[in-house]
Amino acid sequence: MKKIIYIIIVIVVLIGLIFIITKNKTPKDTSIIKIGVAVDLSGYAANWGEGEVKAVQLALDQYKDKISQPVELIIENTKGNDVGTVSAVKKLIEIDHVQAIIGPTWGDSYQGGMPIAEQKGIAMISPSAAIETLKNKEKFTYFFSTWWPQTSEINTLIDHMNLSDIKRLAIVNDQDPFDIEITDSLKKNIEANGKISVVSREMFPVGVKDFRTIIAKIKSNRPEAVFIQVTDTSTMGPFMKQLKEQNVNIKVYTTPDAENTDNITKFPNAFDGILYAFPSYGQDSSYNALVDRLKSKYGAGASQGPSFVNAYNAATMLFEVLKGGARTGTEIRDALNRVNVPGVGSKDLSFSPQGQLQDVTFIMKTITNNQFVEIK
Amino acid sequence: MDYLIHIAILIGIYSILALSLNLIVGYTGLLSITQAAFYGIGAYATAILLTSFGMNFFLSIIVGMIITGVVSLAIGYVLSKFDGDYFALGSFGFNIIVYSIFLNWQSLTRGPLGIPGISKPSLFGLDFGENIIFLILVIIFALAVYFTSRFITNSSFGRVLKAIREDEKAIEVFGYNTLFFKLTIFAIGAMIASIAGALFASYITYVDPTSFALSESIFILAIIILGGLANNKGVVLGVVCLVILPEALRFVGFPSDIAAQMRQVTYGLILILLMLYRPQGLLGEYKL
Amino acid sequence: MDKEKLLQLNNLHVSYGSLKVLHGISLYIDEGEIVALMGPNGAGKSTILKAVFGLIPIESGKVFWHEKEILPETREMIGRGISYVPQGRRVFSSLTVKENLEIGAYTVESRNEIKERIAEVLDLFPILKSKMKELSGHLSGGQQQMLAIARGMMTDPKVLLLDEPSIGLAPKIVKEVFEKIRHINEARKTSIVIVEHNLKSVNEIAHRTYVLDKGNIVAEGIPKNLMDSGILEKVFLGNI
Repeated sequence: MKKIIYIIIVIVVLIGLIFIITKNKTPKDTSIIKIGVAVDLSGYAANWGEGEVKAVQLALDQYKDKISQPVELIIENTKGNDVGTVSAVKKLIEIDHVQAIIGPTWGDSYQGGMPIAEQKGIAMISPSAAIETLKNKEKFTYFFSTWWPQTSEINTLIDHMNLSDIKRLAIVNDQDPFDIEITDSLKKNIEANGKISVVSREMFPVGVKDFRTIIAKIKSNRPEAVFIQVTDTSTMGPFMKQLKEQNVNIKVYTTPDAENTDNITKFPNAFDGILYAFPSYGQDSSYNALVDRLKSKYGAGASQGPSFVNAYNAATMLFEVLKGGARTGTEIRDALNRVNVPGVGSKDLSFSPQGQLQDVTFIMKTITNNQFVEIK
Repeated sequence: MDYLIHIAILIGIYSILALSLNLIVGYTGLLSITQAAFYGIGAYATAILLTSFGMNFFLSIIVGMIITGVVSLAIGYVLSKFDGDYFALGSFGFNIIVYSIFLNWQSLTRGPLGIPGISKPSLFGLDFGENIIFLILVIIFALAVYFTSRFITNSSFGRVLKAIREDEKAIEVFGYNTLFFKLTIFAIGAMIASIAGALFASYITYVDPTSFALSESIFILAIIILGGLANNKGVVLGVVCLVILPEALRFVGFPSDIAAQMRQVTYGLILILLMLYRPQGLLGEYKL
Repeated sequence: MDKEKLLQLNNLHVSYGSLKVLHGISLYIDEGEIVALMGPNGAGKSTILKAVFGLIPIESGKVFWHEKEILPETREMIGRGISYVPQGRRVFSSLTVKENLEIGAYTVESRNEIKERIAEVLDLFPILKSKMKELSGHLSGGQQQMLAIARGMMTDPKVLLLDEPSIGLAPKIVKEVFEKIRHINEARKTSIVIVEHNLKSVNEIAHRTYVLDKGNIVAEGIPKNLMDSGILEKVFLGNI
């Protein structure tokens, strides 16, 4: 009897907690604009999500006095999986009545939230979703992404390889959808270009740190350069170190994730000479100003995460349309389709008809003596 | 209301999963850490059959169950060579293999890109697209699974399963072919898990390998341990607690910069306390 | 004319891996007999029961049932009417007394027949009548032993193999158990092969005894004669 009473109490408390809150929720308060931030704060992409939250808050700091109503950010954890993403998005839309959502982190990996937002007419801007990987994207008119379009980045890399007279390239990547997409695009564009042969392509699970067999395999194909694309940037250090250990002295190309101070600290000089395309915002004073604000608000040691700038731009575009008076889901969506605002790394942040950030230029950079240097 | 319906749907789907594993672990004593693999096979079967072949959802469940049944018999036979902890390790390995297949057989599963655009069920003109209607469907399946589990465990077949759990060598003395019983229940559990997978795929409308990794198998195992092994009611109770708890914690007002982490810590702490004071689970018959 | 032997073992050799345990055992049991297998630990007594019942493989040797050679395989044995009650009772503690009995009825197909068998077995073990819905784990040691034997009787066997039924029981309970064994033999004419260390108790009920040492039969005969001859003392003290 005691056992049953105990169990009933546990159930009632749990269900009551959620039921009472949702049943007695305050009526939609139209005096405050609620914006949902659905990011990964505890899963595999937590360092991305944490950076995204900080970026959104910094963007709000710039806009809070420009929007006619107060803006409240409601942050929900997508937990790095589909169920968590769906739960977070549903809670934000159904319970919190948000007018738009920034997120989810890795929106290409966790697509469950998109149909919900579409059905409810709530705009979602993901700072880290590769639109290129989304099948049937045209059905999701409320979904946008401020992740860098890959074509510019790939073309910048290929141009540099041609300039460097690279004829034989090896490609290594992990099995994250975005990483597969970008390396598939790279391969396709290289083959279309006709000047470079892809002599080796090696794929491995996300998080692998022992590359010795992979390096041995690519070495046997005698490439002149290797392109590496990984989701877990902490694995790049071991890759670079193991390349040197196996006397593979070839050019290494990679993605903007190479600009990672943690990696440089843990593997000093291992990254020297690595080549990567980087969005030109690095040359933009607005980027330096943003980083200063980040350190000022969150401390000198505050980390950005790989999608920090993308999240800042997403928030900037959203707050800009709110400033312009868009309030309903449809108004916000339509305004986002028209918005054109200076951001970090771009004087004209705008979306293509596919909802992708457009006109982002890339420059080539390298690491020399542990410093990130533009190649002129 | 839609949010509550969403939680109720998750409870329904996880109840089916947990009841399926309870037959294998709770009643038969086979420590299997591979239920997510069968869940995934069911989900992918539905995803592929619906998106590539336009098959009816309910028919896809049957096909998924058949595929899962065959696969589970094969793997169950291999695992039957192992005992105790080695069985668990073997099943663990199988989950990893199936996950790798989902990830790498790209021509079939689209690999890490997953399969989006899975439609909601319909049958004879009745559309289950509305969440409340989908919930009713999930409840029907969950009840069917519950009563099927109860029937199995209360039958003479169930009696033998419990005896195998307790002392397999002793039951062999009475002439029972324990391999037959273990394989049968392993396959039944797997096929039920595939039903949950089909429902999951149709509800979320997107599947990708990350939903069926080892962590999901461990989560399902945690549910049945918390709820109580070999107690169907307890297992459903475990589902209710473990699905509602993290959602309820979303409403607890931790400071926003540490909210996610505090919720994870609180969740873990509650689980530890529950195991400390009720190691046999909320309504369990025995401890692992 | 010699009576037809019910169960006979001829030159049985059994090993556990490289360890030879039985060195050509030959013995028999007649209908209605209680035959005891005695000897020190490691003599091979339980091994004989397990080998006959198909629980461990036989290296060489033959098993005869009604003087016809048969395969020593568990289901074969049960089908022929041989039942085995393992050492240590091995009742299923999470099942009720009723469920334990039902488990024992492997060869019985109809539910009605199972009910009848349960009724017959409860006549032999009335102490279990009031405990049918109780979990067998809650029974005392003696009651569990009674249940184990009752479970073995559910197939109405012609031969019951009992492996150390007195193990872990108080003397008073041992007496009750052995009385039950004798009663089963007398009332149902069930032949019983019993492995035991409790010399006094088993010798009171056994018709014949085989004495084993180090995998060999070293003596055979009526219990009283064997006791008087001093062979048991020699074997148990290792003076053979």
